[in-house]
Amino acid sequence: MMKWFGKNRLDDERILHLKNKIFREAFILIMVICNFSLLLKLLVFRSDLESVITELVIVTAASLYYSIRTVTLGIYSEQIEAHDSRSKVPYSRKNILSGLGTGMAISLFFGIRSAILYGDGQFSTQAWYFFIVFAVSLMIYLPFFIGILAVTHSLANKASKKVSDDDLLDS
Amino acid sequence: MKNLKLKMARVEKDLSQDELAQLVGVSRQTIGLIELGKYNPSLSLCIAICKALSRTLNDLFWED
Repeated sequence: MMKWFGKNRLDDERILHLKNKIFREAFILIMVICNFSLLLKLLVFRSDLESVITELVIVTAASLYYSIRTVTLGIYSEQIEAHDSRSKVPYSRKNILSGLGTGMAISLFFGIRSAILYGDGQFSTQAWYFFIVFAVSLMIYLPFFIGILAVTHSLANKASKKVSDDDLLDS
Repeated sequence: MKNLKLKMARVEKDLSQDELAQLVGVSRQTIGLIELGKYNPSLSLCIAICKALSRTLNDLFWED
């Protein structure tokens, strides 16, 4: 933004680092607010999907931008390497576990939601609806999330490693 | 830890913190914080300071 008003003569690294730190905190704040707004509108106010388009776009675009940039700069694979050298559980396994957790959480949500909406107030009917919807959701979402996370992680790691290795070439 | 060598070298060259900061291309506060030992400059900034004060990295930034 400073370029609009002419070249910024002061390139103080300390100020730059502090500003980057502030931008990072502001980004996290914006993401938290957007996610909170999204959940509030969907779960509490029971709004339709159209009313949360803005929040969805903000969260999705920012996450996609961050992911693509870390891969194209080659730091995604470096982060994985650093993580695996420090942690007992490798990142790939944590990825699968988080896919498992996400699938389970979504299946539970749909199961409970179906039980409450269509259970007619009777415990046996609610329990039946819960188990049916939970089981079917598990069969659909578990392999989907585990597969998606594992495949994207593998592809991103491979692409990032190539960029990182190219950077180290003495040319 | 305070960087007294840097401060002495700057004073010997009869430069204020502000003047040294302008030569190097940083703010006065950054020079002040480096001298107080509250900020660790990058290698490129260390080299820029050394060039401005006509000293080596050893002279200004090596702890005895």
